[in-house]
Amino acid sequence: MRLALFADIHANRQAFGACLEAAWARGAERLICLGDYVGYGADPEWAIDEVKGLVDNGAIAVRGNHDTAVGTTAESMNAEAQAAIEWTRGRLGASQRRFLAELPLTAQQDDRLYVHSEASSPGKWRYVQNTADAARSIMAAAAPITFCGHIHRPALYSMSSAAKMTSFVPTAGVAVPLLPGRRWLAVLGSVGQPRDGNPAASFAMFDTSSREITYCRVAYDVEEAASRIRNNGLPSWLADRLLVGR
Amino acid sequence: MAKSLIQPGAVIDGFTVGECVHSGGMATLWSVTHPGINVPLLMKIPRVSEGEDPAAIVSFEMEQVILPRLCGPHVPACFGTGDFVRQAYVVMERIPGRTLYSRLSELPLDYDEARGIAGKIAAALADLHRQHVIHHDIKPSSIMFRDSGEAVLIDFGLSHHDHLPDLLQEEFRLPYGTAPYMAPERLLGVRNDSRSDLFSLGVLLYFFTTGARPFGETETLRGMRRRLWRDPHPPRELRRDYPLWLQEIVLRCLEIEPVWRYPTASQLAFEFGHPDPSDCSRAAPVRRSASAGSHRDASRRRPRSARAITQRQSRRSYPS
Repeated sequence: MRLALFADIHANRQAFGACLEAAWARGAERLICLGDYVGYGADPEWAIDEVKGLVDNGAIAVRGNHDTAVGTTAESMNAEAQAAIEWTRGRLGASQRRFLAELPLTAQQDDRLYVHSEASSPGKWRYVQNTADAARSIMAAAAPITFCGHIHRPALYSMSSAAKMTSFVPTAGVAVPLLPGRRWLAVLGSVGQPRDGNPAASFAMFDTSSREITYCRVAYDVEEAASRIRNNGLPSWLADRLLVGR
Repeated sequence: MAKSLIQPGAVIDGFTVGECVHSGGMATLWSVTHPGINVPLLMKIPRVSEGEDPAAIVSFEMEQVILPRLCGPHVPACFGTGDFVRQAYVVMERIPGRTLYSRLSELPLDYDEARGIAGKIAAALADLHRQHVIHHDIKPSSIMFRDSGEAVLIDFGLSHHDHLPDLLQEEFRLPYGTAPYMAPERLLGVRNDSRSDLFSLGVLLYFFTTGARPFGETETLRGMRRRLWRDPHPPRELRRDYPLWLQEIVLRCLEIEPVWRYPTASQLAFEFGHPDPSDCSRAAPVRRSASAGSHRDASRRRPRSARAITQRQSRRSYPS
């Protein structure tokens, strides 16, 4: 079965729309959404309704820290993120806020674990920045393959049967086999706010029979997404950063 | 991990196992047949029982992932792989003949024959590097030749693929490879420089044209580290009639800094195919005198630090 995985959509309608089109074109049969549907971007209502529609049609969705902040507090976030969350709160209806609040922190399917940030403490929203962080997540996960996002930079970590770690920055469009006998942590890039220097939206495809993951980049109308942010009075840095992928 | 299911007569994924044709340090080779495939086949099985080198597993995983993604006449065609869950194996085309290792008793070779062989290996490396793979174990036993003449590179267990995870990168504290042929930057953990293969080819050519290995046969890390600051004896010191143009090519391949070697295997292959005995300075950017002696004054040649080499790496623009 071909899965399409999306992380950190962040209310970016243009980016998510382009990624969905690319996923269908690649034959996606089931969609997995790894959290942070809102925050930073200008179309949170659309993003939630879209994800809710996908879930109603069989997609799996987990909750991210920005989704959680809508219903609780954004105090631990930086100023721009807080401003965006407060603006988002005002835009969402009760049913949309309830949808976010009721999303699980993790979901498991066969030999795969889906989580927003990492598996050792999903609710603490830790970033996976190096092999030590990845090792902690991999050791905590029962499943041999974990998919996550949160850091907005694609990476692939592997732990051998001797507990040795390797890290890898994937090349877009190249299928990488996730060998059995090893444990894997696939960190997805962000759909709606890439931070690896490439402004193209990032998602991934996973083929469950060949166990191959392909990281994909999709060009989208960045200018439109940026001007939507500016026109809604959100901090201008949130618009500027989309153009440079930072 | 499953015990090996391999024995003559066994059938695995449609391949019928014949006899064991080779028993190596990390793997065994068996002849196999398949009803749908009418070329001679070999099945490579890693050694995974208790007491075996754990590197054999990681090395096999790399070959299992890289070989099916390679194509062309310079690599054996791959016809199937199995993973460690049931039975790890790689089935590949059986290249007739023997490896270059079988020529060792004839060394040193005639210069022109050695040039021809090295040129074919350089062409094979150029094709491999174009496919984003660095071999990292170029040596006589990794090289065969088709009847049509092309060099075939075998044994990709230590290879690096630019677009796939390098499972050997952080796995082991010591660099894995064949000590006499290992490039200096490998000792500092650098695995993403294709010019490491050119260094190994330089060692092979030096050996095949002089009968001596440029850095000896040391297997210790301390012994290997000498090549980080010490040049080899110019081959002309070992053979008085050694052509100067060939010496220049060999010494340029054996430069300590990758940036001083040939930038690509293609350029090296071109040099082999177009020897110009009248111009000995063309081959090397830094002219070195054949009589300069092999041992630089230690005070003038500082050991390369890992940082110095990796800084140079990041400044170099990588040909894609």
